[in-house]
Amino acid sequence: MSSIARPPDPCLVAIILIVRSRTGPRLVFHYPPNPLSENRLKTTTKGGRRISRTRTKQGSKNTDSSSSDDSGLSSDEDEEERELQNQSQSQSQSHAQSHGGGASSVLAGRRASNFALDELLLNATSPAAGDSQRPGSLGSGRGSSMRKRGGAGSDPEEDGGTSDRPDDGPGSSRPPWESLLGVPGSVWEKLLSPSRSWHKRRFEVGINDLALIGWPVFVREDGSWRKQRRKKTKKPRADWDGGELGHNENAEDGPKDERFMMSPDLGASVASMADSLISPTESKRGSTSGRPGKPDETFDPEDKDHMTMFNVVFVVDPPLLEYSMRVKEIYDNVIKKFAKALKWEQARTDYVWKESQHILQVRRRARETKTSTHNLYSELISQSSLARAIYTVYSSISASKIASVSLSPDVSISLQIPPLTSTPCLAGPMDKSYPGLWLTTADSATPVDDPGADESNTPHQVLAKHFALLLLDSEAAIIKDVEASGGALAPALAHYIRCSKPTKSFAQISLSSGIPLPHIQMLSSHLVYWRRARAIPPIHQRDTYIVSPNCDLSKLEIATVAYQTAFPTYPSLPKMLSTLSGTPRPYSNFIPSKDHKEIYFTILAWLLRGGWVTQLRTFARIKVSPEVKMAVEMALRKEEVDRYLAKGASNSLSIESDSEHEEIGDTHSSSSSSLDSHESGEETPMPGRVDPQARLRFSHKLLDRSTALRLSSFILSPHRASPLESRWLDEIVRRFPDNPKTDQGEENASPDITPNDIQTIHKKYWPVFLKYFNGLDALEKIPVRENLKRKLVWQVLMRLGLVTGPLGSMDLDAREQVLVSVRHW
Amino acid sequence: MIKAIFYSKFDTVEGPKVVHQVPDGGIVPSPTAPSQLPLLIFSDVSFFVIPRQELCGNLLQVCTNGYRILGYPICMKSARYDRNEFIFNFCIVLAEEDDFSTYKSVVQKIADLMHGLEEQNGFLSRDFSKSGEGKIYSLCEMLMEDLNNYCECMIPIGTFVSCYIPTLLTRFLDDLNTLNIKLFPIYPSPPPVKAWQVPLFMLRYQAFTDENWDLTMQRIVPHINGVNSVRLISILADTDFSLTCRALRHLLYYGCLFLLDIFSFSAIYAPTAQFSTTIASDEAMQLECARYVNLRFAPHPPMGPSIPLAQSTSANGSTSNTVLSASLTDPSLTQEARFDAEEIWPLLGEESTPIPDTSIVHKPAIVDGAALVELYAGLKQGQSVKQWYAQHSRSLANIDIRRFITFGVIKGFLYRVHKYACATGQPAPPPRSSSFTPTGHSSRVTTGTNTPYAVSSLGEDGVRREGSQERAGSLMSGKGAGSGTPSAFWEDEEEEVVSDEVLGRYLDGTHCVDQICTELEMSERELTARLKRYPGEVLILHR
Repeated sequence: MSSIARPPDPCLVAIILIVRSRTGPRLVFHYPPNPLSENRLKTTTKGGRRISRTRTKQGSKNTDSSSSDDSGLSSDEDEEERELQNQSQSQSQSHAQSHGGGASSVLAGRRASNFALDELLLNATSPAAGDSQRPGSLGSGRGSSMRKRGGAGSDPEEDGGTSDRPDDGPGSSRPPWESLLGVPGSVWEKLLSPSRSWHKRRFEVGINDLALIGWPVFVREDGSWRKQRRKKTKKPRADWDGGELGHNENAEDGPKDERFMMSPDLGASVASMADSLISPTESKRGSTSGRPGKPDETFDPEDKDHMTMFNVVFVVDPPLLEYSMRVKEIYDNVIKKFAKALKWEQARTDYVWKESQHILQVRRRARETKTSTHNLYSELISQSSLARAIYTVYSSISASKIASVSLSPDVSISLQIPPLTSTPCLAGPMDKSYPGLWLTTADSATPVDDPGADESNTPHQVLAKHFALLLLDSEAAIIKDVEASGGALAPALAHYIRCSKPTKSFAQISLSSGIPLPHIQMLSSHLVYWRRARAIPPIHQRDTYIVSPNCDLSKLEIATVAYQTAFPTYPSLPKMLSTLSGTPRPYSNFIPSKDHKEIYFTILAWLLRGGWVTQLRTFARIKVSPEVKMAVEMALRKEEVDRYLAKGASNSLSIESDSEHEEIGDTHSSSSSSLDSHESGEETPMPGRVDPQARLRFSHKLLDRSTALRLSSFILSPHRASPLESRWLDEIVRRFPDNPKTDQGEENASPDITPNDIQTIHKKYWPVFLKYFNGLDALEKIPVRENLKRKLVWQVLMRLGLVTGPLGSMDLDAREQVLVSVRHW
Repeated sequence: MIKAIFYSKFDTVEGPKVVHQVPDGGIVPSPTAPSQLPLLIFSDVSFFVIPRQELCGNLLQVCTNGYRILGYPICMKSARYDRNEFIFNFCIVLAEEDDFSTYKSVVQKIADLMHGLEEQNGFLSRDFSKSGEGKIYSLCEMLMEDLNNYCECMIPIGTFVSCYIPTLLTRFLDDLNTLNIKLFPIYPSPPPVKAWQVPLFMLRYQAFTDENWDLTMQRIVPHINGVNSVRLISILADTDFSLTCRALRHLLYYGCLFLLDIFSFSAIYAPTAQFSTTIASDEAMQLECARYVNLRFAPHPPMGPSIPLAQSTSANGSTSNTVLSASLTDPSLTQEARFDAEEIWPLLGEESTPIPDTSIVHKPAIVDGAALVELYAGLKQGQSVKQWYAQHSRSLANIDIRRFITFGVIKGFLYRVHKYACATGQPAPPPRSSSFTPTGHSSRVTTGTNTPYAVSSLGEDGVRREGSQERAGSLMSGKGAGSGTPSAFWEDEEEEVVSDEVLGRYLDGTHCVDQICTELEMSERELTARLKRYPGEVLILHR
């Protein structure tokens, strides 16, 4: 079907599991067996100098950006050429490699000097010339089979450095899986088993363009893997907190840390939601073994080795310019959560260590039997749940999918890097664009929505109740998945999905179905987080939809076919889009008859889902005309004068009035300048009585201030109006005709509203609507949120100067036309 | 900002060791600077600073304690060293969250240089100066100071006479051994330039061009004026099209250019979501806009720049400069601003019907900031500039329409609604039927503005001519390149200039009308007419 949101670029290259025990660190497992192989490995300008890739547009990586001759611009053509070069280079090198069986190292670097000392020196003096001569520096295998052929009799030198390990017999031929990215495992072991200062902290190492990120966990001083609960008997549900909906952040240390937050997949999370929703006590499920894992059985230093640290390291190769963003994304969403889950299981059942030993054993056996890498990996993945978990995480996350990992029958988690679902910004011709992404400003929390919501600490806040749920797959498919995954909450979820309609807000569904609103919000935010649905403003026939400027027309052909299958008897997709292309009109204009309403809503939902259309929303601000400003100014002056008269004679009238005025008119600096001119003027101070001259003076002052007064302006946030703005607003309301042309009103106003209504209409709704006139809140929200009739709202708004569609049936009073509206998504 | 620079080597006795550090005591405690607390614990990272030889020759970085250490360890093998090898690393310490991309090349360059120096005469291995003294220390010190303060450095490195190399040669090398480093920011690569895009300079190109420039660049630059499309530029400059694109992309990379679309009165523009937060709330931007679009400030020949030939060109260049940087350096603008703040606003056109104006405003009515916003808000989907102009002609009387639109596009609160032609493979509908008639409201649907063709077909040229006469030629620039190609001799009845086959390739919905017009060298009007003769239904999508 149509494309869903653009997933983030995971840039995942490999996952490495390192454990450390008394005998030292061991590289237990890595997946894929041969990362950066196949087409991915292309090195940059300087040949095998560094691990690198040209996958991205930052191909040149500006390794030379400090040299002034390199402009740093990598244009398409350059890149292509370079890539071609590199390709051919690596091709030829891999040829050479497969022929000669030479050492293959991505990290060619210094190892090259093992082959030829002179060469290194040569390289050093003239780097550009020498680099390409490093043997095998590029061809870190072309696929595992090739790699095996090339590397089977790999260079003995690699083993030279690994002899410190008991099971690596010196000189023994080294199986291909023992090295990674062309660097022997022993080097990785040393590099990736950091000191204790990294315990439960981000561990980040970079090698050339690769970033290796982990979250190392060390055994506690007392040999356990988690803090002992003081009252562990009373905390039976320490096992599976599941987070709230499984996607909470909780990084702080302390007791909470122990109940790590998991991201259960649809099924598992249903269970965890059941825990949190239905009754907390039921969450004992699977907690029989949930005792804090004091690994008594393994804590036996005498005859048994035991693990002191494990570190799951994710190797990523983010584009240089997106480095920190990508690293943070994968660290927060995947690395940390996965490591926490492992820590949990380690504490509970000594999971990581047991699995590691198992994996190592299989590997030892494979070395003896000279099993191929391929067979070894399929064996590992089928036999070890940890290896399988790493495999799953790698393959799902690198494909930007949700990884559902089960470590044991009891414990499974789901991990994902949440995709971008919508953007308010339309990419210009010079920006990177993500066509197909839903273009809207309607995110589920907006200024009026959630004044108190602090978005920073709640990564996934409760969905606003005035939103509706748009399923991203067919209802049947989702329900099938939900039911297949089982779980205590599956019925509730299925029930809700059946009740849910994109035309009805959560609040409305709650009323009609009887499901409590908080449950609905939780269920839907769950569905949204796990990419099954999207929260949208409810579809309404009176709302306007346009072809999204961000829609992906390159998918038009495929989508047309899909659309055709879904709605065979209705106008084709291009036709529909063409129809929505003209002057924006309410969607009801396109619905042929009442009977077609349902299906046209379904069509609209389909279009919204694929990002083909987006809602055109209306935003407005109040314009204050010079007349209003002037009237307020006059009134203020008059008040001053009155006050002055009441006060009696005083010589400091002007100054006093000025300062008083400043309190009110604080938004205008011009008042202070008028004060200045006053004092510096050679005119004598005002006599202590109001006379015509004083009047004149006032008008002078008015003229001084007139620059601002003579220009109309907007009130940016009416609900936080300054004192002067409040006066303006009052004046605007005062100017609304009390009895607006009753005769015409009867003629033109719609029959729904009696003249009586019109009279009260502003007084009644103005204060209610006022806060929406901030240019940021769509006016479409008003009827939903204030629970008013749409027609009424729009009539009021039209009266206030809103222009939508063809100009009005109503005869409008200029004094009421105070809104300036704009429509965008 | 570089927090520290240190030189570390593998000491055969002590193991990994920090030899020199700037600031003193920044990495390991120093007796000479007892008050300086180390930024990090060296033992935690020593493995990354002096790694195993397999990892030498790679750029290594590690994060610890909120700092990021960038290094490029080098291992040299020679019989003259103890254990036959010498491992050293010059590391730069940055804050962890800082952008480190520009420093990658720095560490690498230092490593390469030091490698060379060490090879020449044992520059590093023969340095026995105490911590905080000697050439290497001052080198690190200068490096850090210069890069932090000036983002570049040029440090001559004097090497002492070595017994390995004849003196003469050494002297010669001394001159050569200069550490030249400049920090270059890294920008994202711009997407490829399209033939139908219209580049506009963001700054005065005259200020930075010189005759050493690439020839293509020199030739195309004068034609970049915010009006000519890329294709037209390459024709006018008589340059190869792909070279033109490359040159433009180069300028784009450095942010010298902005890409616009081909302006025409049949084009559609609509506000984006940035509208409320930019022009509608930013009074400074409203002023800037008024300055830019007000015909009062349109350059007239006498006060224009000295190149009369490229009048419109240079005018565009200079004013866009003021628009974008809002620079107060432009004398005319500051002068105007000081003269009378109100004169910045364009005047309303004369009109017979007086507005009910009860205020004390005596000066001629003006289009103030709010009015400009209202004008922008009046642009919408499905409505061509021409139609919009017709509705607001009075307000727009003293406004340069093209600049008005361009301003919005540059500031990002307007976007061009592109039209795409899509052949459905269905037979063509009977002529002039409504594009969509299943609804009961079809009469409303077909009202003028909704039919995509209506916007582009009628009377467009008339308006343009009219407008340009009225406006002292500034609107001449409004003529889009696509419609500017001489093609009036085509007749509908004659054999098609563009075959159905060629045209059909453009009708998959991924080619916008600007592109089709540019590549097939026809005006939008001609294209519209041509599409009507296309066998089969062609739908127009607005996106």
